[in-house]
Amino acid sequence: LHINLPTKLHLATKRFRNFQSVLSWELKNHSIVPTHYTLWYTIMSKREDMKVVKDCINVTRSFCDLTDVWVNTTDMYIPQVVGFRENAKLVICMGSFFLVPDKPLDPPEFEIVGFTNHISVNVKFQFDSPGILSEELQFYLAFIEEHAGNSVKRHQPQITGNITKNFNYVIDKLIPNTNYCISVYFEPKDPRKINRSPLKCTLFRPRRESESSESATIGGIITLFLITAVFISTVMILKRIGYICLRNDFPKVLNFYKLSVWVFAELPPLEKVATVEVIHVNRKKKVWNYNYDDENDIENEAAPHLISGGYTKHGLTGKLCPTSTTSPSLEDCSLEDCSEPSAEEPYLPEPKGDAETPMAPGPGPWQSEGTSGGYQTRGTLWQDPTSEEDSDSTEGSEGRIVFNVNLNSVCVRALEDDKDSEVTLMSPSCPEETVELEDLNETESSVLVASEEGTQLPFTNPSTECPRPQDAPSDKSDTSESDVDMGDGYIVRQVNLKKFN
Amino acid sequence: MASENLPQGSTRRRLSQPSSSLIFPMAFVLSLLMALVLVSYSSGRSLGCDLSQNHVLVGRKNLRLLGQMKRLSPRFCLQDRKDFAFPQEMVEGSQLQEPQDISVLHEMLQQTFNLFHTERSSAAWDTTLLEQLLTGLHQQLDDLDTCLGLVMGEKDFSLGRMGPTLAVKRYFQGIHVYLKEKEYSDCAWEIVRVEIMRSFSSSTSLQERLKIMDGDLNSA
Repeated sequence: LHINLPTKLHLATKRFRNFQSVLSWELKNHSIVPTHYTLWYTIMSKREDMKVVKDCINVTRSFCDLTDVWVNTTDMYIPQVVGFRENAKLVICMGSFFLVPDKPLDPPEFEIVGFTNHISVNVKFQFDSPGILSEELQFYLAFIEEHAGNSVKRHQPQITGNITKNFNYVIDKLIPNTNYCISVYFEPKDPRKINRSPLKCTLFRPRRESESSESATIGGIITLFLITAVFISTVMILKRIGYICLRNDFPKVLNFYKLSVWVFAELPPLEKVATVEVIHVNRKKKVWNYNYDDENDIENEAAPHLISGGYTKHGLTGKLCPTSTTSPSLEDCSLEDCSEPSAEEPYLPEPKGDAETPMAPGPGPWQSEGTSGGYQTRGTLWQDPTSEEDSDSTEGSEGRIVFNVNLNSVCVRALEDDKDSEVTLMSPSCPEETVELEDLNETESSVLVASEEGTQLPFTNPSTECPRPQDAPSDKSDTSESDVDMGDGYIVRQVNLKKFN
Repeated sequence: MASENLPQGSTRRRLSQPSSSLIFPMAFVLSLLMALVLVSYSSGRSLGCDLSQNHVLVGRKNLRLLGQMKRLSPRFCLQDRKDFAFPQEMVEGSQLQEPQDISVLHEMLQQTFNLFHTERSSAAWDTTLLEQLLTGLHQQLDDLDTCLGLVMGEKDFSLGRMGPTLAVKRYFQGIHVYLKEKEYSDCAWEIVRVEIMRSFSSSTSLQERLKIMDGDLNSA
């Protein structure tokens, strides 16, 4: 027998530490009261039979805790309460409950302003649709919590259903010189999880203070710091990669200011040379016919010889003027074998007496006083540094002069103002006045070149007046080589000179 | 060895320096960088999709409207219950990325709108409540359309064919088939109303998750 009595089912959610769902029922007619109740339930999402709640079988209480039973918050539950009196069913009651998890409402924005005797809390609503807000706010309660030290006080401003604007709440009765922290939040009327806002604090003092400017100041300082940091880091990066502030302090090794190489358009020759003008003189070779009457002719003539390689060998005589005029041992000789003396001068730096000649990078010059062999040289001579020892060794010993001149293109001449200054290569007193072929051959490949030994090419001192070959006493030279054609012409030959002092 | 200074006529070879044309681009880049720092700090807004509080409130209102639309007690339609296989794991799961979450949410709202925006629905439900529901759904769809344009870009077609979105489409297709089979009876509509409330409740969880993700971006 089922007696349907008016009943009322009520699902209440109580605020405890954890959210709980408690289903309770109430009979409207109290004339017939069941002695015990049993609770069943089912869901709408699936076709399932009623399930009994184990903790709610033949209970005398009129409520049942379903927290651990109704766990699916998105489903609709259909409970059924059956009231019994002894074994007879007196009442059957069913209902439907949709457990929608009421999401917490985000706290609103607010500002606090401290005054002399109160704190003003200005709550701002920043929702796009105020109408929806008013509908939703009816399900919520707004609370303002006041934290002062260890005490917490909660204020509940009255919110009507038509709120569309911000509202202001005043907190008074404050303790002077006390730090007050304010928090605003919405609490659902149907208790759920509350989402509290972070606390905002102010130190309450008898004078008016504003925290809004403080946060703006801090924000501005942080912004300025960030900007400065970004700017400095950018500048440092640009400097490091070389876009700005290029280095100008180059290493000294790269400093070309002090090098004399910039002065000249081309490097000076590595080897020391002396300018010699060769005056080409066509000489006819004469063969000595054992006639002593033709000495002068032989002295003054030097037949050019064609040499392989395009050079024309001519007889050259060079004169080494001794430092002392007391022992002029060499006859004067002159180099006159020159076709175009003005145009074909070899590019040799003009000696400047004792002046230094420009230095070219490379082996250091060997500056000689030109006293080797007792002869004074003019200017400085370049010498291969590898042959310094040889030159030192030759100093004081036999000198060696090698001339290698293309007589078709150069002029070899002692460049002196004094026309009489001549370069004497060897003693004119060599009995062999004619130029022997074999001697010429020896000198064939050594036309006015510095020998490997670095033979010094001495020149006469411009102040020294070299005796002419015809004037000088015929102090025979100790040359071991063939004689030289003296006179107006020059003889190209290899000459080994010895001391005459 | 004597050394000499360079004569006045000689020229010194200078190293090349970056031309002035490079300075201005670098200055522009620096200014742009500073402006980005200022904008990101002052505005405090993220560059991703921003579901505002209003969007959540509208969704909550729509759910409440669905509850108010009840015309008969569900307990009288227990025999018409059906398991529509709602993809709850895909909707409520946290393994989805933000673009996929937005796509799923948009699909659910759009399908719900299409379900209630028919002549048969107008005959079954209260007109006023139904219009409010459709307005709210349309408002939520507008908010999500903006997010879809920012997040998805050219990938919208590919996301529309991905698994979770397809599951949502199949789910609503089953609802349409059920209504047709039940000939759009009152209990069938009631079963559908309850089912839509269930799916809508799950989507609000998805909205909350998107809002949390956006909040993390702002705080980062």
